[in-house]
Amino acid sequence: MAYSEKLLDHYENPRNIGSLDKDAEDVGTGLVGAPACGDVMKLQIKVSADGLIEDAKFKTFGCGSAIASSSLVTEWVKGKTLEEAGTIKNTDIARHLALPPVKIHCSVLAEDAIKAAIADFRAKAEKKQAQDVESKTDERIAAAE
Amino acid sequence: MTLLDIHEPGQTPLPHAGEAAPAVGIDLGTTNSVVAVSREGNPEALRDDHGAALVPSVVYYGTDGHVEVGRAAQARLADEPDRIASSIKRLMGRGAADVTALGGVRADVVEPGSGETDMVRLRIGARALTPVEISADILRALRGRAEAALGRTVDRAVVTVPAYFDDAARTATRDAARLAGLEVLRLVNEPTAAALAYGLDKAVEGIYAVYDLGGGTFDFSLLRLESGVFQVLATGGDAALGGDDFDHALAEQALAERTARGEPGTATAGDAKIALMAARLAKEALSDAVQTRLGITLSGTTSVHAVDRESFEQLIAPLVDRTIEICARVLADAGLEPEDVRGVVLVGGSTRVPLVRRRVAGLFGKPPLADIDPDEVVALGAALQAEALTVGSDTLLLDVTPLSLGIETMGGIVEKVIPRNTPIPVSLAQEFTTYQDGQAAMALHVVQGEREMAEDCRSLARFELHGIPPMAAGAARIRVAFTVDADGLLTVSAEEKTTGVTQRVEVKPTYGISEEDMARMLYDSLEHAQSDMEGRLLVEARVEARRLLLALEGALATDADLLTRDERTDLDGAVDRLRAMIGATDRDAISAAAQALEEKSKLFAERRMDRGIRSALAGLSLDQLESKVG
Amino acid sequence: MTLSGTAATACKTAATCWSCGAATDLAPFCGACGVVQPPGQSDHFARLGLEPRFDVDLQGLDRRYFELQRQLHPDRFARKSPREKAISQQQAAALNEAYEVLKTPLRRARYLARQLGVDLPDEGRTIDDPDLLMEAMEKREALAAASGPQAIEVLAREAAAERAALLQNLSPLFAAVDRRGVRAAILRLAYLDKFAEEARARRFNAGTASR
Repeated sequence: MAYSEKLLDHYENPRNIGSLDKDAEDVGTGLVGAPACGDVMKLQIKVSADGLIEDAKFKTFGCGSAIASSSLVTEWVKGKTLEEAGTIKNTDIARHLALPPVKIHCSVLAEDAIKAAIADFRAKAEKKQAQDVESKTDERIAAAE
Repeated sequence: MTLLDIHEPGQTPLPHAGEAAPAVGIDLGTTNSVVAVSREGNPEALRDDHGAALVPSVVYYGTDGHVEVGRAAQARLADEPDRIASSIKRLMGRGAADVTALGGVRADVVEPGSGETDMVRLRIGARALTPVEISADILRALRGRAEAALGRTVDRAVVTVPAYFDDAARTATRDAARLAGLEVLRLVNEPTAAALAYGLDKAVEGIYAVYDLGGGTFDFSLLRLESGVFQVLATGGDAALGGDDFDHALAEQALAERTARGEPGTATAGDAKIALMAARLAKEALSDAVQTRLGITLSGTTSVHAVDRESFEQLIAPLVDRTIEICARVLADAGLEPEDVRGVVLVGGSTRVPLVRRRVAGLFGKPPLADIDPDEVVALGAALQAEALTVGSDTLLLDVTPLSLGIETMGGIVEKVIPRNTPIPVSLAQEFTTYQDGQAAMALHVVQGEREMAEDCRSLARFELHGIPPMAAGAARIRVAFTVDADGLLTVSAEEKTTGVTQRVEVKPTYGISEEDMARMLYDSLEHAQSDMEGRLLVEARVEARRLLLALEGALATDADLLTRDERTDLDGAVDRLRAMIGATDRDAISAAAQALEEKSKLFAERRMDRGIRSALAGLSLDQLESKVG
Repeated sequence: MTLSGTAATACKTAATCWSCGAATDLAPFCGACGVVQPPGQSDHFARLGLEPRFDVDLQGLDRRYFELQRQLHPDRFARKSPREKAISQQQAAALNEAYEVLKTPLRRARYLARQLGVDLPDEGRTIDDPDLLMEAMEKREALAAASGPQAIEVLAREAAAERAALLQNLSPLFAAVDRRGVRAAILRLAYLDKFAEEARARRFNAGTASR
């Protein structure tokens, strides 16, 4: 039974630890938690004007597998479009890190986290669009007056 | 001798040869071992003819194959250090690689050959011995002492182990006892045994802590004592931290001074043993004195090193700190504060070091208890438990697992199945599955420890499950059940649940002794039995002599009036001669003296028999007499 | 360590005594011959003679546990047959499991919730309570940032107070069979317990480092 070098690497040298401004317009935040063990995972993406993920950060309080899973996802999503990032599957994460069956739920959590971050960014974007439309209408009304 | 053994029916004034011998309690220590026995709740350490209870855990292997244990072996250290095995407990259940990791050079470690288990072997003379075999020799000596003292064959014992001993070390201890011809009734954790010895006569209630710093191991346990129940709440320790490390620190300092002066250092493992022994003596002196001198003679050059208590304390402070950290962690595990602890019991010879006492008192804010000899208390507790198991008792010991048990899964991560401080016995199962389509076999690696990665934990065993029917990844349901019994020993069983396919289980015990090895060792011990046999015959002669003396003593207590003054003087003379002879190592002389005494007591025995028959018949009617005779 | 193949699993809740054949009523000992019986699949509360409710008198639990272990612990069977020894070990293990579950509030709550048919999310799905997640994240960040033992102590006390209040609330929720309330409280309790564990570890490490 070989040790998973990748898992150890991401566990011992996790990439992209930290936070982005969750209130910023170009940042999407995904916050997830495991019901059984009390682990929490925060994954954030920063999206450029042309729809590419230019930065990703995570903060995970949990076991090694959870840390490694979230670290790997932040590595993977950088430079990807939202659509591409949304296709990441927990099975890919688990296979890449050679996660043991009992730790598969950590990869599920990481998948949930990136999906939630994308959803959060999109919700913000839609809201902003709606606001923009609203404010433009306001301007027009003001101009007409 | 049998002639003396008459007494009224229903009356047994003397121990009887046919009666089952009491089970003994054995503290198999790193530095010293003790054997004790308990009768009616009164435990007592068994002593040698000089009144010493402690048997140094030192074994000497002579060129002619004869074995000496204890003080006799220790006395040979200066002349034949290479034929001496000491501090062997630290190697129980360990592999050769672990031993190197323990630090210090061990020139006597034998590299394992191919096909052998990784259990460490020591080169002693021409032989390569495992710690199990060496421990068995110590246990044989303790058994001999018990037999001599009790006048009966002893074959059952409660043996203590450090609470923090892992499964491999526990198994090794049990195997050693088996090799010494002892059935282990129970392996009891040392701090728990100590608490038992303390708690029983004092009827204490509340939470107590046991701080047990021995020669090679440290244990700290928190127990709740309530109406005869000894419930261990949490335990922790370090199976490789003890007074030996204090000796090492002192010896290294002295040796550094020697080399600085240009004097010869240690060249062999034997030299190291001599330096360590000198350091130990200095350490012991510093418990009472504030300064002492440490003398080392190596390669014909003697050097003397002045040591004071202050510098010694500076030297060992990091080691003592480590024990205090462990105490703090165990308190946190139990969710307790130091103030919650009503009393702290000190166990183990190393708790005589003043710095240790000060630090323990400092942590708990109260002076620790040490009113039972810290060297004997564990054996006394073990003897109480031996009596409880064989005769019965109102007390109950509820212990816990010291280390988490888990399985290494793909990726090297440990999945914990039984967390530490779980009450034993315990049975827990966990389901595992396959991770590849059509996977037919699954390797399981059982580990013990608290770390996340398997490589940082102790490896207990590897086994493979074969014959898993071809299924998609994740479809198989493999149930792995862990059972830890009241001895703290683990059994693992596995079954595949979705099919009825029989499983084949392969075991490779990482540091254990295989059944073949066990058989070989038992055979070897017969081969080497020449000296053993001699020792055994000597013990038997002593046993027989003591039995005779006891029987005669009892008979004289009731029927001394049957002897004239001259006859009595004559008999007493024979008694004295036998008593004088009993401590000697000449078996034939003991037997001769015993025979002489038996001869002299024959007349007395006959007269007692007459009286016995008369009193048995007295008061019986003729009818009754007839029916008795008929 | 020893390994055995497919384990001979304990007999199902035997209706008859394995030794004398008399009918048994799931009691640990046969009423007719007094021989110890296999533990069977008893409910944890029933095993310890307690009512199945969240409020448990911990002293009473201990007392009952000690009383039963006095009868069932393998030390009591040292002079009995190997079969009786083995059964006593199963009994003592079953008793230990029941005791551990009932003694620990989170485990007791989960056990009772499952009996009441509360849908507790399994591993592998994220929990669906954004407020709880936000709070848990913030508290864990605060704990990670706490600089000294005092700061850690303050956070640990706050969490302990919240936990005590939550446990107080759980009893009426269970009594009223409020499944949604029980579910939410159990999820929160899991996070508070994890926080307490981390705080202990941090406090221990801080204490060690300061020495």
